[in-house]
Amino acid sequence: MSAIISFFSSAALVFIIVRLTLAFPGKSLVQYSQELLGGFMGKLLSSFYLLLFLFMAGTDLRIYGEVIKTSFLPETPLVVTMAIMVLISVMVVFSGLEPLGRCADIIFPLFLLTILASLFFPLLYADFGNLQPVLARGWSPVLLASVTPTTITAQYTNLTMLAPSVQEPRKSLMKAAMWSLLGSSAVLLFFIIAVIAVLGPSEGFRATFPVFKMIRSISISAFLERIEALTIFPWGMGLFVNLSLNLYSGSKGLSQVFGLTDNRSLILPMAVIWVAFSFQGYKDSFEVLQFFNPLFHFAGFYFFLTVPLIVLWTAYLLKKPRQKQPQDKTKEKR
Amino acid sequence: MKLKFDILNRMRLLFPGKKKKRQPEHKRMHTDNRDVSQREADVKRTPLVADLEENLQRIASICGNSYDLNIMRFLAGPHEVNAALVFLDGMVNKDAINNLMRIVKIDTFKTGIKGVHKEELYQTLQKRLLTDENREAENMEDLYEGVSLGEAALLIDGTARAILYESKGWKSRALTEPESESIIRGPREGFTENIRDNTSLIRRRIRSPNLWMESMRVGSLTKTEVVVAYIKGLAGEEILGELRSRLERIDIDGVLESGVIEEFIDDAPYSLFPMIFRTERPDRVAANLLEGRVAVFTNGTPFVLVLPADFFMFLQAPDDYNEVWPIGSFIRFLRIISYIISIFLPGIYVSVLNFHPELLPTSLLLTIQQTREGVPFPVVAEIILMEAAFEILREAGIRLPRVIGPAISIVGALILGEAAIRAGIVSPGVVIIVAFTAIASFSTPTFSQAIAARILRFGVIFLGALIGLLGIQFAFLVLIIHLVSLRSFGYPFMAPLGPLIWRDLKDALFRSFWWKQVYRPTLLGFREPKRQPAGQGPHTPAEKKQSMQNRGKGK
Repeated sequence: MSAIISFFSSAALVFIIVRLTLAFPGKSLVQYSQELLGGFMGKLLSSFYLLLFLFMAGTDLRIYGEVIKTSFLPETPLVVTMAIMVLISVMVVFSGLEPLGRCADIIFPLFLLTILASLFFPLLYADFGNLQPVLARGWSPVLLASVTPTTITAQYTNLTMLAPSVQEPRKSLMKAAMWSLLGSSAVLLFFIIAVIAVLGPSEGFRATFPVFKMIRSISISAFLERIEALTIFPWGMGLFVNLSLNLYSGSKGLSQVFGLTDNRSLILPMAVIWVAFSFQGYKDSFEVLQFFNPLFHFAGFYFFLTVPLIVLWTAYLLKKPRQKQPQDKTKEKR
Repeated sequence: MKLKFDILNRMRLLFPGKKKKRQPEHKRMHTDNRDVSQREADVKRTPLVADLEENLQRIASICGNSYDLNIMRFLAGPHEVNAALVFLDGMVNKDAINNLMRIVKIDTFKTGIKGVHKEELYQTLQKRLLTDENREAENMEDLYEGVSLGEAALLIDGTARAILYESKGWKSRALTEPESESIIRGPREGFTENIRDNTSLIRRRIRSPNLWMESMRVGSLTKTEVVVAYIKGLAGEEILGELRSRLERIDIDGVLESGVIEEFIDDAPYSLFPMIFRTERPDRVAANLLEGRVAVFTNGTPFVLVLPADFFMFLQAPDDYNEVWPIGSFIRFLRIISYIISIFLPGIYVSVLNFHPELLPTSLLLTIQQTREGVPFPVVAEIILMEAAFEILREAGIRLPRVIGPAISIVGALILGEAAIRAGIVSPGVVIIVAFTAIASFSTPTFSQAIAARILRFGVIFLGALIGLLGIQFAFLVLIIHLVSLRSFGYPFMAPLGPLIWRDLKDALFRSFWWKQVYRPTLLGFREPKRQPAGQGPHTPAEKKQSMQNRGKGK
């Protein structure tokens, strides 16, 4: 349920983000926020977003590192795992946005295939009776739980940095954003269903990494008993795309804040800061999991995401009447 | 006689202090210390003159009285004008030479021109001989260029020009089946070393006047003929322009193989992956031309360059297209899978055994561990040892004369492998992995692409041994990043997978029906995307009737 609710709330957010971006074709968030709020305020506000990129990427990185550590390489230091991931991201961001997009093109089918597979196989073990008490405790826990997925929508702020490079933003951007949101919400929904169906509600709630545990419980015949490795590596590749996207947005944004022409000089220092952040930011895997606690989100993260957006949106609405005339003219030309 | 003074004068200019004695001709040639590039430049500067004797002397001094330079002196016409025929022995067809002599010596009498002067004789012969095949040379450079191509130069006293008579007749190899690209079904012809034969093989396949061929010379000494072939109006002009400028930029003394040109015009010289496709098969070149690609022929080699290339081209074989589509798709998919195996399998084996033995089913793990008992090396060392041994074996197998080739495979594969296992130096598991990888890598149709995989394999093994499956993932992602950022003449190397183009996937990962491939590759044939009308698949009689009716209505 909460997945469905979160879909609508995040759809609203994404809608705002995309509309804002479309209103300023060819400009990134950093650039148009300066235009809307003036130089200093714009820079301040967009640096909020840059922090957001750092935060999101750092957390994702840490989660990945923890999963790898607990399940695969218990003796390898966490730093090594994370540094490797970031190193690859640095490489791809160095070669530019185009290779990044193409990597995503290649990785996406792999990713999708694993998701489908890891959804399909648990069905053999599913006990849908576990799903029975729907809304047993009323609406409030459902609403609260929908907060976390919504804030993950913060990933979509990356769009604001990517939009200047999109060829026909008006046509494609909104459509792409909405489809991907729908897709990810559906995946989330199905995974929740699958986890509860396979593990049961109490065990599913207690597990550190529920989906992972679910997959681990699968064995296809007697031969393929441990297929979790097959899911974790495509996930790592998805994470790689996510990371490098954040790195791209972050370095691009930072270079625009400081007025640098090239973002490449910032990539490596930023990457180092990331590793340090995700290493120092959390003490252990339990603290990382606190990240998914809804209350924590309300306090900090939500603020980071929504408040600047609201500021921007109101500024945009206030400035709109003045800009309307030239905009209409360009539309007529087309 | 003038020529000798000429050279002497030039030497005096070079060494103003010394006044050299005239030396006999053979000695002078050895003391002539101009270097090659200067000699070449001098050839360009030397004109033809009206005096036959001097012309001949100049030719002799340029060629250094080479033993195969043939100068036939004779008297032509009723007035017995001095004339000479210059050609290189072994490059010309003797029949053609005889024919020319007949024309020059007999036909001039036959046509009833009596009392002609030197110039008139030349003009008559010019009218008689100058067809589109035969040319005129006005200076030494043109003359030698013709002679070196197997033409005979006809010089007549009193005229400062020469007629180059087409008499090419050197030995060239027959059109045999290409050995580096063997197929089950398809044409058996392969390119040869002769560029004319090669281009004619393409001409025979594509009979459109829009198949254009541009010729140029590359190499200051070899002056190798390079031909750029494309279909006008289909190949991208940007690609062509870029190719021309890159070819013109080449300044090298000799081009003996298309590999030299390939390296000069390569987009990513530091990449392991070849950026330009090469083939010995005319049918493949023709098929690629039809897709909007460009072919570069080089004289003296059967390997024709095709560009721009993409990753999947190297994994395709003509059989994919010649067999029915399910077979074609299956074998192509098999090749792609085995290419991935040939890069990653040994690395995965090492990392799983070293770091993640729990991933294997227990019984399998136990079996492997049992066979590893008593082996003194770690798995990495074992695998690297065996891989290296295999690479050496493969290289030795290629270089050996064909007669002793089988011996290597017996000694190497059977005796060495068997003995190594018996002696307990390597475990059978490693041998199985290495052998399987080797077979997988042999299924890659293009040698250079397979070699890239082999080199990468060692890197993957190393990373896998260092940090387990995470290292494999690292290698995989780095490989993808590298492949995806490559471009061949502006064409993305991983297309249609890198930039995902759904329409083109039907001819990359697998092959769909011929009649379903309505469009050319999007980024190549963009000038005329449609290859054929849609809906040419088989119909039932009822459907056929209906479509006929529809067609009638349309008209």
